[in-house]
Amino acid sequence: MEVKGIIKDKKIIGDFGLFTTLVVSIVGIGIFSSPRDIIDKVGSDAWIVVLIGGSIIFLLLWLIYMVMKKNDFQDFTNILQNNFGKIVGGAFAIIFAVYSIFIISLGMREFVEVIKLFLLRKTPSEFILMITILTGTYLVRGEIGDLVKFNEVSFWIMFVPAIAVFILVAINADFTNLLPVLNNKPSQYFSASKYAIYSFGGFEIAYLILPYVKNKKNSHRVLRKSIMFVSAFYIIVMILVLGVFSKSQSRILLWPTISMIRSLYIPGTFVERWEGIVMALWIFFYFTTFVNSYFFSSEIIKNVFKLKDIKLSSLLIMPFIFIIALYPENIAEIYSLHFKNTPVVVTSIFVFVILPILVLLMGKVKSKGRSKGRWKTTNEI
Amino acid sequence: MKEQINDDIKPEAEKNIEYLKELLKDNSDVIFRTFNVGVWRAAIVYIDGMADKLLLDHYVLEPLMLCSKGIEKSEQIKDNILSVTDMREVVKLSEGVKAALSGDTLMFIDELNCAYVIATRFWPVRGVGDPSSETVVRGARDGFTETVRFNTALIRRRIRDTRLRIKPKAIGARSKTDVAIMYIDDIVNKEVLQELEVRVDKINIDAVFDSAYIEQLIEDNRYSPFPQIQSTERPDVVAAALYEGRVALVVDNSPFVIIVPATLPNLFQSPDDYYQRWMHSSMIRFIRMLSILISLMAPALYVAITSFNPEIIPTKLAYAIAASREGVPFPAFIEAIIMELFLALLMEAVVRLPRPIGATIGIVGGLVIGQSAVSAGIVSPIMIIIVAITAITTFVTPNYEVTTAFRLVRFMLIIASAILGLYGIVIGLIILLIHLVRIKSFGIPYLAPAVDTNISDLKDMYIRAPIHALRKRPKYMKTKDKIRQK
Repeated sequence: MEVKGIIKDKKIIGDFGLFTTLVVSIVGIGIFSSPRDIIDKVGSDAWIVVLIGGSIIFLLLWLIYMVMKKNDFQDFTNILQNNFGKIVGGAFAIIFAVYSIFIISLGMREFVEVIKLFLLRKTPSEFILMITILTGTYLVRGEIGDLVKFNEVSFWIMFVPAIAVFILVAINADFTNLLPVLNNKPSQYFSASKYAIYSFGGFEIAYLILPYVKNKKNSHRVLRKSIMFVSAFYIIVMILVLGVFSKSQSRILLWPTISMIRSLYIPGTFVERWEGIVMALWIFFYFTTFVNSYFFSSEIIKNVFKLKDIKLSSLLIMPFIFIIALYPENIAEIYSLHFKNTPVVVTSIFVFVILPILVLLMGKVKSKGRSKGRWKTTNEI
Repeated sequence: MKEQINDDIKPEAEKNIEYLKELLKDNSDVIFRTFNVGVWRAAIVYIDGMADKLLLDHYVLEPLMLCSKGIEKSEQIKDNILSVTDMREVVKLSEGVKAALSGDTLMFIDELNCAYVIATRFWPVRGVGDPSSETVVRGARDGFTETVRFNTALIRRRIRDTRLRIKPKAIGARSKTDVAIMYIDDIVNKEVLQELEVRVDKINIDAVFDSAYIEQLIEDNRYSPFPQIQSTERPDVVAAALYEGRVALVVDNSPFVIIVPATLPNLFQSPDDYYQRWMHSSMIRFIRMLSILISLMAPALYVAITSFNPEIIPTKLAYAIAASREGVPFPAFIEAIIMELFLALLMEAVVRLPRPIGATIGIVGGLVIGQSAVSAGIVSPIMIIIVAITAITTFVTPNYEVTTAFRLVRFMLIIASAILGLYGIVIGLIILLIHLVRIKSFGIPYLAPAVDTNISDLKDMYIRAPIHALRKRPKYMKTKDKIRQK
């Protein structure tokens, strides 16, 4: 006997949902390694680089907002296909999805290596990988509202302990390590800000979320707040890493942030070495990034190929994540694939800078004869 | 399954009675009585044991048989002679039969095309008692009983509002159990109400014995260990829920009233939270959250730390644990599973047995077996401590059904920790979280107000703000009337 409901999900996301989704998508695995790369280039001015990176990301996010606004907050695939035609737009969307999948898969591998090193030395990578991907798939198979709710709860689970850890670490830090300010060449700041920008990866989730936001007039303010929050968080990490290790030592550590947590010692507790516990909590940092990008890619694939639902497209993507994540032989290869491989870098510039500008230009050229989007005006709801 | 009843009521009382005698044959408790009212024949039908015989004797039969002089038409009998307050006319025989089977008295009089139903329900009942599964330190001590009318009265006493609605329904093709849907008309979320009525109307079952049947038939996600509907024995809890814009379902024969929608934070609240001073209640809520975390994770953490990451805990403690586990032949995982199963067994046994024997079981099971298991070297003393902590922290949760759900989750976390250590625990918790954000109760997110957050709802979630600060009804419930106090 079936007693089924009639209530439907309205798919409307509040400001807090938008804020947390952006924050948890951005803050990811990059936080472990980026301090090393940035400090290596600019030494004690690392926090200034983060500030520069945050400003650039804010501009890119503003670009996304303008694209969405010009196109009546339709979903991403629709925008591309309306502006470039079915085939070219579809191809662009697929490039976008493939790039996202590639990046999250590399992140996944790095994450698995971290987990292996600190928690599960003897377990095979493939098994950890499989479990993580399957868990992510369970969430992706739901609705976008569920994803946002998951982000909202994760936000607290992530940042409340993180701030507690930072306060405890700050007690032992020596902040005079920050002191020589602004004694690098301008070009060095820019070459270092590349790494800062990569640690902000994941902000493209705004394309996915903005169409569902309830109060669209306010959303650019929320976007700004979330970028400010993430920048502040990264700056705190940089300052603490510098404070605890000084620049010469941070350069040679593989994951300075983790080493910093290892230095944590709180007498008189049940826990002697905190890195295991903190690692366990930091699974959330990567997992939220992964699951949001995964959902977005599945959504794009679903829309481009007109699949019935996201359950199918997420299943199609799943093996690719697994294979790409297993491709690099070691961590060094992950980094060279991510930062030094020219096609990847070019694609990222295309996806984040050229594509939105193209859409904006096309919007100017084309007349207003667009097909009707899901949202007619921002005030409709 | 549906029975066929000839619905016309004939103008001759005798003929109706003949038909009913055939319909209800071989029943020792059905009483048919025919008599004269003036010049007319009349008949009553009722169930012995469910109807009030004294009322029938003194206020129905006596005036009818003795004072029928001066009556010219049979229509006048109702208005002039029958001295009972609660009666109604029915034109369909099936409706009358249903009433008679519920304890009312069905009456036929010649020359009438209808029958009278006199409310004479008077069956054996239990009085209002203590709500034994939800005790409070301070607060009302009346609990629901098995009679739907008493229960609605207990709620009505707390809501003397013209806008309180009590809609009757009958569920069960054979049991015809009375169900009352209660809500306050200008507060309730109409979508939830409509949804509830649709789901209740779709129920097609022969009998319901308890509100638990209905609860399981109308809940949103059947493949979830978590209860998505609240059930309570306390009228004050139901009244408070109605004031929050929720809907209550009172089911006959069940002392448990169910409330929809229910969210997980709702199920963690006890009426005592509102009767104690707010600082204390806020602290208690914090302790409750902490204890649910401990009860979920304590055995799993033990397994993960002893088998994967012993370096996390201080060296001395690690040595102490290793020393205490020295003679134990099982791995930590088997040890944890054995003890958790034993705990589940003990709790089940204590619930089923009569109270005096239950205490014995507790002592024999808990103390004697626990002590001997340690001395025999089957489990380590640390494991006993962990199981004891788990048991105590489990019972801090006010709602029994949530406790059972978390017990299942605990077992899953133990298994996850045996496979993947600390990572397994976190992945298990992530899966739990995903499950919780995915399920809904009547369109309301199950984790509200922890998701779709807004400040005014948070005043009554992690903490319990002072009563004067709780000015608004919960926003996530999407009530019509939003202000609780000015």
